[in-house]
Amino acid sequence: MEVPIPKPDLVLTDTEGELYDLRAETDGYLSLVFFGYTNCPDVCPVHMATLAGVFDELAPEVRDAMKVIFVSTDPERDTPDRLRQWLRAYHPSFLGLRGEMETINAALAEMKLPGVAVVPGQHGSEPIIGHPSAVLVFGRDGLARVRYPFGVRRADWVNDLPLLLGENP
Amino acid sequence: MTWWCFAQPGTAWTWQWQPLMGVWLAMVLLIWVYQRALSRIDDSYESSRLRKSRRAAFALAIFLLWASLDWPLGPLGASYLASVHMVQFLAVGIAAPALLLLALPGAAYEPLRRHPRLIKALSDLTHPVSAFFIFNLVMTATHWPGVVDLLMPTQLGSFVLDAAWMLGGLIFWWPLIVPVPERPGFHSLGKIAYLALNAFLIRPPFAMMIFSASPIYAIYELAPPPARDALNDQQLAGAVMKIGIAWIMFAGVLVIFRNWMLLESDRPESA
Repeated sequence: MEVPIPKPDLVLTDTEGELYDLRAETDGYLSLVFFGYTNCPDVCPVHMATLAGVFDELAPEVRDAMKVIFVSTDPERDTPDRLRQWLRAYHPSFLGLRGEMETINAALAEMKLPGVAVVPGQHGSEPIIGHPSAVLVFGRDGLARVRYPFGVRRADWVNDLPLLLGENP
Repeated sequence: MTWWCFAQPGTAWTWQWQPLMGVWLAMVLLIWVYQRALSRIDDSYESSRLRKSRRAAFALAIFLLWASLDWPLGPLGASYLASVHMVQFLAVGIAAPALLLLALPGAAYEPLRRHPRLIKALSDLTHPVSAFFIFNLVMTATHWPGVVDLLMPTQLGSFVLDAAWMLGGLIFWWPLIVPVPERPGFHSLGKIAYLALNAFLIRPPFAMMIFSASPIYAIYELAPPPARDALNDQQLAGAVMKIGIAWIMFAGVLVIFRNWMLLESDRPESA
């Protein structure tokens, strides 16, 4: 990105029901922030499965310096239990956050990402939630310089993340 | 209308039936060609049991082709799971070609002898050494990550891969099954060695699938559920490839060995 994006001032609730201040809790970590929902049929499970594979492949010291934050764009259906179980099925370290849609949309706007759009389901099917498909990576300094679109492969993540850690000591 | 199954990366899986008209047409065409071939020859010299076995082989080949190329295995193998893709390969590229060649009686191949140029070409193409190299070249090329990721996302590309599998399989089995051209030097022991070598050979795609630290195919790596862990699925695909090929080759060895023994027992003892 031409202009780095600062980490949003976002306080949400984690899957244990505790308040989670994104800036404070991820301070000093390389933070991968993604907005999605557990009923997502395509983008979210692919991103999570890819990142889980990346975590398995990274050296422990790199992994320990990173946090993956999944912010639900469907807080009604993504109950704390469901969100926790869904994320743990990918990787035990992935963190799920929930909050009011207004708060989440404001944070998305702050990060120059499109807002959440709810598309009602047809013929009684579940609604589809439109959400950004990119993962924002915030360096240890709290600035995002890279936005990873859908389709980035595991090998590229494994290559890039240690570099991003090194660039933002 | 979808004619042939192709990879649609990022598309959510659905259990809604999708007609694949090209697959159905191909099956109808194969059945028509088979019936026409049978109607032009007199296979009454074969026992009723053998004739039934040949028809059963053909029916099984059609079932394998149809089941592996049509919905749901077709879309699952094209877009979501490398392991299913490998099951399709075993069916389309290994089992079905053998069954199709077995489905025709020897008399069906006799007309080929009237075409010397064709016999010469077949003689070269299906020589065990060239058949071995062609089959393994096709198998390696059609499983190479760059080739798969390039061809699978289009209907034509996907069809080309399936056709290459089928052609490679027909060439592979030809010297073992088809009596034309005759190969008196290719003894049963040689045939067993030919199959055993192919059963145990470690091919580059297998090694990549099993030993690569990351998923090698972008299609399956970026596939939504039911795909889950692309690396595990890829390793399973490698295992399916290796074990599947070994079992089919082993079955071939057993048949050849049995026929060899029967031939030896029927041979009159010399004084």
